Amino acid sequence: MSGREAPPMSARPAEAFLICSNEFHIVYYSKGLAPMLHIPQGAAALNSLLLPLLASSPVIDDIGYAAIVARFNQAMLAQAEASHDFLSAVDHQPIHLQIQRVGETHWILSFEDLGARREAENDVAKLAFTDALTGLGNRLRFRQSLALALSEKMVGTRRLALLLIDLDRFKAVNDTLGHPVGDQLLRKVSERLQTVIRQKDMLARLGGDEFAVWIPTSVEDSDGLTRLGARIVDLLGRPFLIEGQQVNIGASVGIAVAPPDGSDYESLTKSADLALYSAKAAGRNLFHFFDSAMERRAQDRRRLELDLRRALTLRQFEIHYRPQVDVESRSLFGLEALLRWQHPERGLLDPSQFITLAEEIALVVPIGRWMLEAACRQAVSWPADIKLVVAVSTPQFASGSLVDSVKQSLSASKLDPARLEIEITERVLLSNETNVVKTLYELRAVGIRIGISNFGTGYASLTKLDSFPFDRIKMDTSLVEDEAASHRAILSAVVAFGASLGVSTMVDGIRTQEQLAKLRADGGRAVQGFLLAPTVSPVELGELFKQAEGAASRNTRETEPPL
Amino acid sequence: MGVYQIVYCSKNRIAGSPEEVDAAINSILSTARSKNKQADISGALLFNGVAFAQVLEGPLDAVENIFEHIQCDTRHSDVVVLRNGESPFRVFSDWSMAYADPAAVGNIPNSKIDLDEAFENPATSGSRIVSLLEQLVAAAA
Repeated sequence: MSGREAPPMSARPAEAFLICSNEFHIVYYSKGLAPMLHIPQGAAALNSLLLPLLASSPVIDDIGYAAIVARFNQAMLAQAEASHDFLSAVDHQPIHLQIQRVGETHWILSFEDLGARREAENDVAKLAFTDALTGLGNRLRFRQSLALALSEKMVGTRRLALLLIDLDRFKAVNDTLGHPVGDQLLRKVSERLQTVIRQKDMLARLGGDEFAVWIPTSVEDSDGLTRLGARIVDLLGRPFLIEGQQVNIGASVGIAVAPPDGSDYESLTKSADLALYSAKAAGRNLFHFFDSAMERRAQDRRRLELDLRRALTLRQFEIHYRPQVDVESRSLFGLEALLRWQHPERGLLDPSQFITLAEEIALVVPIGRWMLEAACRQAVSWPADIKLVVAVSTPQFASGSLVDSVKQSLSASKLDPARLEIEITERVLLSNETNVVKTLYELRAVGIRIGISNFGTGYASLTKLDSFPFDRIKMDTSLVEDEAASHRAILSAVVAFGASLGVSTMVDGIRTQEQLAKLRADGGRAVQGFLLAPTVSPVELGELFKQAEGAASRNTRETEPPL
Repeated sequence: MGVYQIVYCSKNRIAGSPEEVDAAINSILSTARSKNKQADISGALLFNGVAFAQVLEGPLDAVENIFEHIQCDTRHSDVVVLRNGESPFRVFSDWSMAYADPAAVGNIPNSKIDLDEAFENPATSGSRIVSLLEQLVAAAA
C-alpha cells in the first residue's frame, strides 16, 4: 500500500474509499475519493489525518461530521464494523458510509453514492427494455405493457387492439445491400411507424423485422383500426432511400382485438399471429383481422403436420406411376414415380395437398430419399426395358445428400443405374450453377440419366443449357395447354434443339388428340399424359406391363421388317 | 460539383373543391420552399390534378431526409421513383421548389402532362419528366 493511486482493482472506477490506521493516519485512498467528497485531488495526502479531511469536505456538514466521528468511535471500541447513511450537503443525494476493519491496525471507510447507484440501476433497466437499434421498446417492454394494459378490466365498449407487423423482403435487403443498410432501414421503418401512432399507443420492435403496436380502442372505432392497418401497409410499402439507393419492402399486418380475440397476452398474441400468418399467406402487403376460421385452419394444419410427421413411419406413402410412351409405336418405355399419401381419414392425397407443409417442416428430403429407394426396389421387378424416372425437389438438391442417396438406393435395390433417370426442374438448374453442375456430373458418373423437367418456365437460355450434362428435356405442360402460336413455336424449337444436342425431348400433359397431332407434326416423339396412358397405382402396374407387351408384339407384326 | 438527384411521381390524395386543392398545394409549396432552402435543396414540382411529379436535388443526406419526410405525407400515394443517383449539376438551381402550374401546359408545344406513362414505365420516364419540368419552369419564368 505504497502507491498514491489506486490499482485497477475493480470495475467501478468511481469507488471512493480510504484506509487509515488506528491513529487516524491515512495510508491509502482511492481515486474516486476526492470527487465523492468534493475535495481537491491533493487534499488527502498520505499520512495526513482523517478527521480534518472529513471536516474539509463540503459534502459532510457539521451534523454529519459529528455522526461519522461517533460511528467510527463506536466501531473502534467494539472492534466491529459500522455503517452510516447521510445526505450529501451538496446535492442531497443519499450517501452510504461503510466502516470495516482491515487486520488489527487499520480501517477502511468506503463511501457510496446511492443516488448514482439508483440511476445506474435505472439505466440498466432502460437498456433491458429498449431496442438499441431503433430506440423503441423491445419485446420484454412490449410484453409487460400489454400484459398490464390487458389486466385492467375493459368496461362497456372499450377495447384494446394488437397489431403485429412483419416486414416483407427484409431478408433480401439485408442479404443484397448488407446489414448497415438493413439497420438503417429498420430505423426508418420505426420512424414511419411513429408517425401513425398516438401518445397513448405503444410501439415496439419485437426483434428482427417484427414490430408491434397495441392501441386502446373501442367497438365504435373499428373503422379507425382498418384505417391504421391500411396506413401501415401503405407507408411501409412506399420506397425508402438509403445511402442513395432505393429500397423497396412491404409489410404484412395481423390485427387482433381484446377481449373478443383473446383477453390475455398469450391468447391475444396468438390470434394476432394467426391473422399475420393469414395476411402473409394471402400475398403479403396486406393487413388481416383475426377471425375464428383462422384458428380452425391452423388446427387443421397442425393436425396435418402431426399426421405427416408420422406418415413415413406408418408407411402411408405409396408411389404411383405415370407412363411415358413413344408417340409413334405407342410403346411404354418409362415410368415416372409420383408420390401419394394414403391418409387414414382423408384418403389418397397428391403432393399438392401436403408438399408445401412438408417443405415447411423439413420433411421433403427424408420423404424424397424414401421415394427414391422404394421406387428403385420396385423397378427391379419391371421388364428390363422400362426405365424409372424420379423427380427430385430443390431442397433435396440443396441438401447435398442427393448423390449419396442415389448411390445407396441403387446398391440396395441392385437396379441397373442405366435404368434410372433423375429429373430436376429447370428452376433448380438455374439456381446455383457451380454446385448444380458439380452434382450433375457426380450423378452422371454413377451411370444414371438426367432429365430436365418443366422446361420453358424458368427462362433457361439455350446457350446456358449447353454447359449442363443431361439426357432429356421435358417440356412444361403449359407449353402444350396454351394454344398460343408463340408457345407452339417454342415447342417445335426445343424439339429441334434437343435433336441437335443429341438429347431426347418429351412433352408432359398431353390430353387431347389435337395436342398429340400437333406434337407429332413438330417432330416430338415421347409423351406423358392422360390421353395415351393415365397414371397407375402399384397394383395396376402388372396390367399395364401386360398391355404394353401386347402392343409391342402387335407393333412388331404391323411394322415392316427392316430390309 | 455533383449533386444527388431523385425524380418520382405519385398519385394525388387531396380531396375537395378546386379551391381546397389549390390551398393544399400552396401549403405544400411554402413548407417545401422554406425547408428546402435550409437544407440546400433545389427542385421542381409538377401537378396535373391527378398526379404529382417531383425533382429533388442537393446533398445526399438532405435529399434522403426530405424524401423520407415526403414519404410519410398522406396527401399522396403510389410513389414510384423514376430516377435516383448522382447528377453532374443542378437543373433547378434557382428554385427551392419551382412549381409547374397545369394552366401553363398549353404553352408547351408537343408535350402533355401525361403522368400515366411515368407510372407505367418508370425506368424510361425520369429524364423525360425532368426536361418537361425544365421547359414548364422556363416557360413560367
